Amino acid sequence: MIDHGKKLSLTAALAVVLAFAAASCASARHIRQAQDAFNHAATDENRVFAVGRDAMVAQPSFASGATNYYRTALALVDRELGDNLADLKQDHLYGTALMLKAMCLWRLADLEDLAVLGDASAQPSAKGPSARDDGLSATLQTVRRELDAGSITIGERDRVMLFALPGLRDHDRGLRAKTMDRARAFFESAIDETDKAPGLAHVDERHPVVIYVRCAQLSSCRAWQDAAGKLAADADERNTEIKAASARAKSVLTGLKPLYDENPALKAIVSSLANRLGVALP
Amino acid sequence: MLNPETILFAIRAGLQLYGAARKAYIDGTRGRPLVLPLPRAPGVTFTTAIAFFLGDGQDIAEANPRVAELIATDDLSDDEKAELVELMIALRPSEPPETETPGAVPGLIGSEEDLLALVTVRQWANGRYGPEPTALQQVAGTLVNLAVDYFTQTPGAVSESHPEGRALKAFLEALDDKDFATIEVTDIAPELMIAVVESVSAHPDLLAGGQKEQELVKHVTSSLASSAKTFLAEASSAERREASQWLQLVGRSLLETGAETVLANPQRFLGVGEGEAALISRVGTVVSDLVIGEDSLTFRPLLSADGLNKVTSAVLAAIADNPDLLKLEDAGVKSILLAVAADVAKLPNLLSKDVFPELVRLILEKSSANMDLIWGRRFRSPKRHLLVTASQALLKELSRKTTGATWAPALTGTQLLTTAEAVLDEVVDNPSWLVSRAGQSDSVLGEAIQAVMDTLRSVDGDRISADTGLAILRVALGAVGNHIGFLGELPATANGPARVAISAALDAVFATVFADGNEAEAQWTLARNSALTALVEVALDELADTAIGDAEIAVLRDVVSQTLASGTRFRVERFAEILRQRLEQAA
Repeated sequence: MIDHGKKLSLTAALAVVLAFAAASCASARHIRQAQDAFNHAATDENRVFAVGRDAMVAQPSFASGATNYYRTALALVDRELGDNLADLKQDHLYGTALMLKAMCLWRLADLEDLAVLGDASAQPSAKGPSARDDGLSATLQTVRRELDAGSITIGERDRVMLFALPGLRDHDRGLRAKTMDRARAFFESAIDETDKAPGLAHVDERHPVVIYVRCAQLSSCRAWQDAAGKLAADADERNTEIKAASARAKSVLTGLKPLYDENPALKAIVSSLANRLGVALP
Repeated sequence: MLNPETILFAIRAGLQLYGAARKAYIDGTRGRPLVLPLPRAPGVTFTTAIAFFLGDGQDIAEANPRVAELIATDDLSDDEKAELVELMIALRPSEPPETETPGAVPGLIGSEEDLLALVTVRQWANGRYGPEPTALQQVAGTLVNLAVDYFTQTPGAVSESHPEGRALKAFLEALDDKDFATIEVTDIAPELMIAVVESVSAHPDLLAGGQKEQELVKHVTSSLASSAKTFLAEASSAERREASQWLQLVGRSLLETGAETVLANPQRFLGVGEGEAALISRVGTVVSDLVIGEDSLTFRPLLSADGLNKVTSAVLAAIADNPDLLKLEDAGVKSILLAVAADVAKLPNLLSKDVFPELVRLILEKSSANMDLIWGRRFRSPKRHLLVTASQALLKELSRKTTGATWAPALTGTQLLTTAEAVLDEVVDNPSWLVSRAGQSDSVLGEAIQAVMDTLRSVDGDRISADTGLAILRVALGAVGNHIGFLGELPATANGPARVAISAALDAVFATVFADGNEAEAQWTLARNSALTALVEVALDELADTAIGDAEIAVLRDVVSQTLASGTRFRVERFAEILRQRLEQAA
């Protein structure tokens, strides 16, 4: 039997253990909070995507809301990388944190560009989109360097995103291009870079992140068509560009066919994307 | 006083409990799903239409000069752009049925939920790459947060010397089982953990002992996770949330109401043998399958939390008495529950929640005690289960809507169950009740119930209470049980059509007692519901000793009439004596 005094002591000691346990997971908890904020922002963005970009323009609060969540996520990750780097490395969360940071920077660069381009409700960052781009490049370089050195490990999703992010960023640049040539170059680069990502990451086509990448490519094809409608000098150039974008989209859809043929939910979404592109499913 | 020994002990205990959880928490953070945002692009615009008319719709464009003109125009006005989109929508072939949503805006992604699911990407693919997270790893984050909140309120409970601490450990061990590695338990695990810990907290004696109790928690958790694995893998988030609440109820129910039965029969439920070890798990799976499985839409409306406890308790008690109930080819207990639920679901909603758990209890109690008798030695289908069949016959008749019925009381659950118990007892006493007679599609029981109910329904609804009607039904069934001649058919006469003897006898009593010309004082006595029930009981008892024919029915009518006319107080014994004498004379 434990006497009353010992029991009290035990309770107090256990409270210390609990505090220790909670404190020892603090870095992971902060990374999770950052993940939550990122997911919140990305969910908002994807809801807008579901109804088309016009809704984003018509309801700028979507963009500013998502921007704020991405900033929160970035701040949390940056704090952990600054204050608790050793813990992150010890818990093998360093790579996770860096990739989360890279994804936040990608989205903030795009959304803050949107603010600079005239959406008054979305407050641009003091650092500006170009600073976000620099930060994104530096972060991706760090991840590659650490991976090469074998000092971090990242999972399959993060590996694909590591190689896809430059292409995804090119998509955003294509959205802002002022000439048809620049727009085409960015969108083609976006499609090509993301196309290579699964292979470079050694991840199978059936991994969900690869399906995401294919949908992103369809989005780039669609943005390319849209750019042609705005930037082409005449009908001939516009139609040529649209045909080229549609051909790339057909190619992506053909690659997706085996997957959507066995997944009705995927087929419904891909079918909607194909509708936007004006092409039929293969 | 804190001393080094105490601190070290506490740290050891604490770390033992949290060590695995901390690792799982961190692993789970690394593998956590992220929502990946799709790069921005517009929906359907005029460039969509141009793409269509230049590609798949080229033939249409060539056949339509206006389209050809528009897509060759350099600077399209806003009206022309809108016209192109309208032309595309009007001229393009219909979408394949599986991808077309009636009335949907072209290019609008119909299901946001599906899109979000598509872009919510796990770190590792399912079982194909890299280390596969256990269920515990998937949910460690949520669980640790919950546990910290919970145990902050009662810090001592985290120790393994405390029931909640032991329950938590057993729960975590069950979730960490590799068998559940591919279950998406994110939505269900927190609810289950709360159910386990709170159940133990409310009843600390549940885990007052040692290994057996922890085994109980592990088996219960495993069985619920197993059901979740079977039924929730493809479920939507909303379905999972709802299902997890039901699983929480089942978990509480199994622990709180079942522990006594299980721990009183540890060899049976938690046994050491290969076949017996999973008995409690199988019970858990049966119950949880019902509330989250394919038949959940039938079951959930029939069960309150209290009702679920009754069902769980009844199942466990029946299994404790007769484990064979679980070893049937067609999942014996489950098929009984399914069959009863299907019948009870036809009752009015307000009644079904009261009736289902109790009816299940009645049937299982009597089943476990009379297994071979009521189901035969080769248990196969619930259709062969005599008590299920009997309750079905009763419920079918009681819920039958009849036009022109004057006696159609709204029955209470208690009334219905009292009647059901009497019927089930009759069947246990004589299973031949469920045998169909030559030329009849219904069983003897079904035929008898229908005959009595048809007669009751023709009585003035203001004269006979529901209790009396059901009492007369029980009395009548007892009479048929004693003398099958009550189901014999009396030929048509000048006064009426052919009818079953039991109906004719009851009708003779009712028609005479409630006839308009009776003396008010006499009718006052005999029409009392208690007197009427006694009158029917005695009448049928005396008739049972005779060959029932029109003459005997006429005698009955006459004796009842004389009793009414006598003006004396009604005495059952006297009535019985007179009727017996008159029947003997008639014979």
